[in-house]
Amino acid sequence: MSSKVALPIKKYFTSVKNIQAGAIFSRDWAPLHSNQDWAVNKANLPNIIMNNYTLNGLLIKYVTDLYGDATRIGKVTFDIKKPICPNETLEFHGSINNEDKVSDELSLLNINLDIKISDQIVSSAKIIAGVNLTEKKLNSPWKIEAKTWKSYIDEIDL
Amino acid sequence: MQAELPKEITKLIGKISFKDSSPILVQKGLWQNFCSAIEDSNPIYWNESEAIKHTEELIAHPALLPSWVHDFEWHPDRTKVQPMQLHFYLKEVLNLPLGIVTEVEIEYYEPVKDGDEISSNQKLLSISDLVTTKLGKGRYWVIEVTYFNQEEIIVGKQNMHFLGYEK
Repeated sequence: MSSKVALPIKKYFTSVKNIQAGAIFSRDWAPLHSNQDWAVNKANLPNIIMNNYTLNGLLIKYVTDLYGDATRIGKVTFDIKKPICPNETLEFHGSINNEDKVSDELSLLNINLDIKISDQIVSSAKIIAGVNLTEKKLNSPWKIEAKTWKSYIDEIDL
Repeated sequence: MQAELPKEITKLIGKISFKDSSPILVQKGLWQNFCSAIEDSNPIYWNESEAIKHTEELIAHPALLPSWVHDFEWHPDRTKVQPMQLHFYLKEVLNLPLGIVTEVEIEYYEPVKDGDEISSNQKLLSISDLVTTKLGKGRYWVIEVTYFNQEEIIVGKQNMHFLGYEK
């Protein structure tokens, strides 16, 4: 399948607390994620900013929330066009760029995601995920041996 | 402008120059704190009886792979080892005190589980000419990081794109 399929839009509100928590719990102690005075006056930023681990976590969550707990993430690529600061509503706009059916119970999805704040794209992402789209749930994508899994990832050009 | 790069920087391109070892073992309490912060309820991070159907046991949130080699902010017996030492080394040598991540590419090969010990090595892939951005004057660089578990199996790999800059 190669035509784009739109996925549901999800929202996430950024607070000072969840930006700080995302950074601290990902063991990222850099002050630009937790110290407003430092972020503004030392780093020339508008406020503290979301760290890349938290952003990656939210991207992965978007996909696993949609396709279920068996979803295996193979690759995530994303940029950060604008700093993501507190008190913003992030909108996740996803679409399936391509679906490659590897076997009866494994499809590799190539997903595009744009994160918007007030219609402005602040981050764009591409994700490769292995999913089982059938009613049969005997073989989880997680059961695929690592070497084979890596070969699937290598074959897809994001 | 590339010629203006110090020799100690150009000689790093394409070579593994720093290694990080795990300051802590992977722990479910730590990844569940992160999952709580982003409100990720996926049972493979939380619920053993559900996880066993897919991954045999609970697994760490994949987004945390780089976090397992981050040192403590404070430790009673030693000074902190900076994560991404190569990034901080570049900032120091190039006199660019500030840095942000501009792009990330990360691949996941093996799940990371409770008790795993993650290490990594870092390689400078490229560094740009001097640029002027809204944040200030600086350079872009790309660092490849390969992550291993305690059995020296590669569990993932990422390319980190940075902007190092001064106000």
